[in-house]
Amino acid sequence: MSDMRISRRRFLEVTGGLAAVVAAPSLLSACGGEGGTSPSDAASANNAVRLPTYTPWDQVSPDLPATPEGVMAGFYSYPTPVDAFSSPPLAGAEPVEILTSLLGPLPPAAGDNAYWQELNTRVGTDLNLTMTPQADYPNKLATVFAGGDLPDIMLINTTLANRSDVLTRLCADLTEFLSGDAVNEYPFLANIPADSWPNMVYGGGIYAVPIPRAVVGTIFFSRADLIAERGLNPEPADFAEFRELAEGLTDAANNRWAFGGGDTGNGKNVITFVGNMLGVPNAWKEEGGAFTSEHETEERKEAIARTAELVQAGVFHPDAIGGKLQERELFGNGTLAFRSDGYAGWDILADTYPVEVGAVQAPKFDGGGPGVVRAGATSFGYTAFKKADPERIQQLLALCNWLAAPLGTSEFMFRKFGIEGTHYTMENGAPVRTAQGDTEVKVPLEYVADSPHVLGPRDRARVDAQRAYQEAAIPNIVRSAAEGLYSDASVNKGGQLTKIADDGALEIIAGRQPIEYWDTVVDNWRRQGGDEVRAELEAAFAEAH
Amino acid sequence: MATELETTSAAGRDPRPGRWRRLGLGRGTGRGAGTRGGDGAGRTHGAGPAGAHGPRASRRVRFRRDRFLLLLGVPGLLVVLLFNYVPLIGNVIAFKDYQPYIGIWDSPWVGFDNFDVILNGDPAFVNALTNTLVISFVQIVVVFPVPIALALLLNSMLSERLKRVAQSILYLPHFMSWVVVVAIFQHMLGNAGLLNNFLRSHDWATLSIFGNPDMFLTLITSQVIWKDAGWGTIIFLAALSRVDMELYEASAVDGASRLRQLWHVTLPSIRGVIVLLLILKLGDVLTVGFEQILLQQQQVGADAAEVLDTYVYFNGVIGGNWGVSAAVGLVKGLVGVVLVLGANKVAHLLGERGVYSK
Repeated sequence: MSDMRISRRRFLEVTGGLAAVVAAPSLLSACGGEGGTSPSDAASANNAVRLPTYTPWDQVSPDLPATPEGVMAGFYSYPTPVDAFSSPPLAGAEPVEILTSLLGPLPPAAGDNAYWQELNTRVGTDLNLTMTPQADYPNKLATVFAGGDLPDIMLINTTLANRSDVLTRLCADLTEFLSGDAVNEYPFLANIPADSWPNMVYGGGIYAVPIPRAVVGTIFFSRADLIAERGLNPEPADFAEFRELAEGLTDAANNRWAFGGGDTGNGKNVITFVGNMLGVPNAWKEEGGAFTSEHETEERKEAIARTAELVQAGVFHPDAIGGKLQERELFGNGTLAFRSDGYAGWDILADTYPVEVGAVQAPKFDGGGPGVVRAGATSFGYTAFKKADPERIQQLLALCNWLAAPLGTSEFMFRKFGIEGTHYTMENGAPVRTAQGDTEVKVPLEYVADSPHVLGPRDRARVDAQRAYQEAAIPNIVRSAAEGLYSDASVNKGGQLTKIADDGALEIIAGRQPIEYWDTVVDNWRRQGGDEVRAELEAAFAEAH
Repeated sequence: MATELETTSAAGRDPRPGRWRRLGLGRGTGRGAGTRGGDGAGRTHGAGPAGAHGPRASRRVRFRRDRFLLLLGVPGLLVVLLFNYVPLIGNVIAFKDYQPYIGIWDSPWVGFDNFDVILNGDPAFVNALTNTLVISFVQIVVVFPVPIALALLLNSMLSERLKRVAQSILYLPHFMSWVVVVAIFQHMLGNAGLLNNFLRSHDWATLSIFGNPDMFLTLITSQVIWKDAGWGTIIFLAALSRVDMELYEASAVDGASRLRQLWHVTLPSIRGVIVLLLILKLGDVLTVGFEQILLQQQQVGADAAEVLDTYVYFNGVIGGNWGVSAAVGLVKGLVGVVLVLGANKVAHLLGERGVYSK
């Protein structure tokens, strides 16, 4: 019997994919020579991994310090940059193939892109990026893995099926390079907060580098200028006022609408926001050791029903439901008045379009204070490497380290703005992009590796507005009860389960199914793996308490 | 053209002399009057002169005589084997619990487990199958005749220049990718498209064409017609250009109207081509436009727009259930084979030539 078959069997035990195999672990351990691994064993193997030691890079001090609760540090002005690297980190290395996601416009190819050419020079080798628009990225990635011809570095998204198996079998184990103090070799990876690392651990090893994100998560942005222009109330105190605001912003005859369908085109943006008014839990809630999914709560059902009413009321863009709109563009030109986006979207929207961006806090559904805010994911995705010899892995880590150089370094300035004089000029201590910079500095390096985000540096008014939003929102943050608990089924079937719930909700808000249909969807969700995830989470919770 | 090649090669490989002679005779006498039939028969004779003159040469003699031609055929044969037949072996994953990170060889056998969705009628699969059958039925009944009608119209145009222009315009959409075609339709007929924005700005009722499950079949059918009907006329036009002019003259002398000429001369002359293309169409009838439907599926939901191809894609490539998807794909291929063979049999019974001659 070959080794591959044994490991295959162990894989089945771990996922519980074949009931018979799980039922007879002793038989298999006789075959495999090692003890059977149950889901909770996998969890304890993961807990045993020493995460990279967090060593913040503190050469610059922010104007507004970060708070322990998760409010981001703020900068009003650019610190004088220092050179963090004395030589190109990958000098003499083979070119690096990278597959990643694209959220902005496509940059010109390396041949016509002075920024990209300079990037290659500064890194020391050619970076060949394959960029796929965000909406299609999961499909692209699944196809690449199916084909088997992997690039050196790839961004893995949370919806990829069988994520833990794909990572542990096809990607490089980074444990020896990053665990504990080993990460000090890469000081800017050590600068990534400890919160972001636990999700990079699979099968008892570190298999990816995080792209750190702050806890504040998704923000419901509004066109503050349009709201003011129409004399509407920008701070609705309950759902009825929110609906009034949406109706006030809709002007069908002039192609003006309150909402799009979100980046996934299924109205999840509004369902989630209305859910925040109703207090829908963030993914999982726990009571006395028993776990309940957000999908199973009455509040979620209510949120879907209310969103369906909003669709009926005609405040959604007519092609929003099921379509994939270029929402940032439509928000910028006034077709849409609201857009749900990551917190980083604030600067992107306000810098790209000549509009005034506001942020709406969800009120309680019936009024009387603020609703909840869902804690954001601690990492945008998982940057994994193709299996290679240690020397190559070290090169790739050195590249990520270089890409994670934070504000205050000249590498950061180059990464975000390009070459001074060509791509930007300094005016009043802040970089201003030239036309060339606007088109060329769009290589999506921030979806390969990045430094932890800070607010600004921007003008005081913007930073203060962002800071004020966070200070108001963070006290209402709800985290998932599953945080820190490992569930194999959740990792491997998460994408499929999300699709079941999202497709079901879409059927309802599109008006093709009545709200009662949601019960069928949830039943199906439970059968297809939801119950399995719950059982694993409850077991992991019991073990931890 | 394809028919003649098929005929000659099939006949050329036939080792039974009696059968061969029968074929040659049949062609010579039965179809002598028809231009196409006559031509086909002539070619068959040309490729195998032995058939016309006495008993067939032995296999060795034929091999020595044709060895250079056979050599020329080897690269093509290898390409077909490598790219059309070797990948068929991959169908074995229909009987395995396959994952790409384990490999085909090491995946465990699971027998017919993957066929459970088909045998037990998994609702998602049944829904995909029903939609596929409905769409393919519409494509045969509605879409298939359109190029024929269009070819007849084009053929009746007198001005050669105008005909060329019309043809070029009709061919053009074929070269656009589905992404572009769907985007064009969306911009014209979408809920926020030109038409509806116009209606809305005049306070008139809007037409819900996109995102309306009831309109989905109509929508995708019109897209297919718009994109490919022009291209589909090429083969029919070629067949029409070979209809003997004397037949028209003779019927004109007999006082036949244009409609009667169409019915008694034109259509019978291209009947063979129509039957052939219909049979070939049946072969991939369950392939109903993966890209086109995938692009528009989310707007109308899986109930209306899940077909076998998208089911295989979502379940296999995205969902990671490769074995089940392969099983469904395999069954789909088998259905195609059965349909082609069955239709060909029917064609033979009706005295048509079909894909290959008997």
